[in-house]
Amino acid sequence: MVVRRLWLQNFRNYAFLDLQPARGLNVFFGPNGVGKTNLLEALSVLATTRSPLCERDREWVRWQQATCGLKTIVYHEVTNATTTLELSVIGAEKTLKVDDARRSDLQQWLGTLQVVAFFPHDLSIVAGDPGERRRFLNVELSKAQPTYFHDWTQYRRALQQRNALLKMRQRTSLGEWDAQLAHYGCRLMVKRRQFLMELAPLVRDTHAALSGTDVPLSVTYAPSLPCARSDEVLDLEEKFLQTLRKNFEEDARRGITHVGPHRDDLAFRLGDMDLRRYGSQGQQRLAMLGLKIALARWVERTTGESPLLLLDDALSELDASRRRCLLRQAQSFPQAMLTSADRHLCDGVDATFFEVRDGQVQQA
Amino acid sequence: MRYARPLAQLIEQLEKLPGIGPKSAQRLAFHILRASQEENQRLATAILEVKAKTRYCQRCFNFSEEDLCPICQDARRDQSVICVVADPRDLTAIENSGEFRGVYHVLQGLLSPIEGVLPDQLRVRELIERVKSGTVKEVILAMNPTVEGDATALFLSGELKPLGVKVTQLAMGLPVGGDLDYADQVTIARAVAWRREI
Repeated sequence: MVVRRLWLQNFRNYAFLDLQPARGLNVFFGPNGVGKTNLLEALSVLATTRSPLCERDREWVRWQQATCGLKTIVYHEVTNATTTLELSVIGAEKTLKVDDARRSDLQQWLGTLQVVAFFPHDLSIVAGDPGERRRFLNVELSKAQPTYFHDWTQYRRALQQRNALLKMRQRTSLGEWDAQLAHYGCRLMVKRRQFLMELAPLVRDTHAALSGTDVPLSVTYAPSLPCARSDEVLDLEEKFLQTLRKNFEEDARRGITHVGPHRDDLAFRLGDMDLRRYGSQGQQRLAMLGLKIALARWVERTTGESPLLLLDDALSELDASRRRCLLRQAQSFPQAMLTSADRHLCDGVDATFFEVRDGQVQQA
Repeated sequence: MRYARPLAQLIEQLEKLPGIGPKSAQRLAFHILRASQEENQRLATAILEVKAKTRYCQRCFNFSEEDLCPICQDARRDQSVICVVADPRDLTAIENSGEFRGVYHVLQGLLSPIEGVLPDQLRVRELIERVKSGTVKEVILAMNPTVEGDATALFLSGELKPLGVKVTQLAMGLPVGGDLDYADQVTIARAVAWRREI
């Protein structure tokens, strides 16, 4: 898909913006603090109605303003149709319009603009706590499968209920919560496993193209219930139930459930090396970029449409040959947007250049 | 302090009601102030009587004015089929459909350890007693399709099935008159899982 137009009103440092991005690669350059990242954030917000960079929607609204608005026209090549998305924030209220019709159901909004974004803080997916990697799984799978999101919210609720019961040291009626934990947890584990099976080869290939080395990057599912790597759904559900029963004493002592998808993790390995512990900054960064571009390919494969690729400050810390590889990858998408403090990092690249200056964007 | 004390007191009391904010409370209070004395007397009496005269039906634990609620007293209702609901509002919803001719059992809540609700806090024992009395052939579990509703249904079926009674659960699926392409994916997924032969 291709974003034909983007309007912003009182979003972050933009009082008003009317931007017409080009097909192919768009490069936004300019010094720090002029609003390059805000552009990519705005597109992410339009994709999911949430910002990947901050929790509170109120922070989007420009300083001393009460409302903000974002609007975009998205062109879908597959259907040769355009869709207009409009999101406004007034106080605590968010209003969504698709083609000028109000939508209260988020499901009718999601998927219109598919975005895969790399922001520097995404490095925590490789380098941070397991919670960061679970968030990655939950966010990406929820975007792709609404039933996953439902399973996840139900699982979390059942987990809270079970833990409350454990804290009371009550064994009666624990079985009902165990059953639900097993039912929803099992669905989560199977979907995560399937996702990684599809994603892993894409990650390996993309990373190879980016790094130019033979050392393969592998990403594998590391479930807290080991048999989730291979078991069929029904076996898995039964084993999860057995584990919950077996762990009762220990769980009750600490008032928490020790095993389940809420304790899952991902393992990133470069050759034999644990990337999280021993990888350098540059290696982790390249792995992250490989993961995100592979994710974009996966979205393309599952939805039949290429997502918009957003790369925030992705060129820094990469050497010249890897920068070239990354730019080549970005150019292979129908549309990609990249920010950089240094225009010269993209010298000689076939792209449309925009100069960003204090809330103003000019084609250069 | 802007309002006369009696008016301020009324506003303060009204504000405590669910769904009533400061603005609505003011509007209601001014309305009451302007209304006739008889109207206000009727309102006050209704408020006092609702607590004094409403109790639980001794059989199904729906709200009732007498020992037994009108549904339990109705000889035309089929006493051998019990529909179990979480609260009286759910009962009213099913009753409004006019399709169900059996009787009810109101649990008065759903299992939720977070809120301290365990089986003992619900009218589970009373339901088991009713089933044990022998005339009941089927128990229909009609809880919301939430984690709490499902847990409660699982718990009840575990308690009831050993008594030799038929235990069923409401079907889940597509809303009537709805378009398939507008139904949310979770509903469709459930409808597919619960499909039946025709």
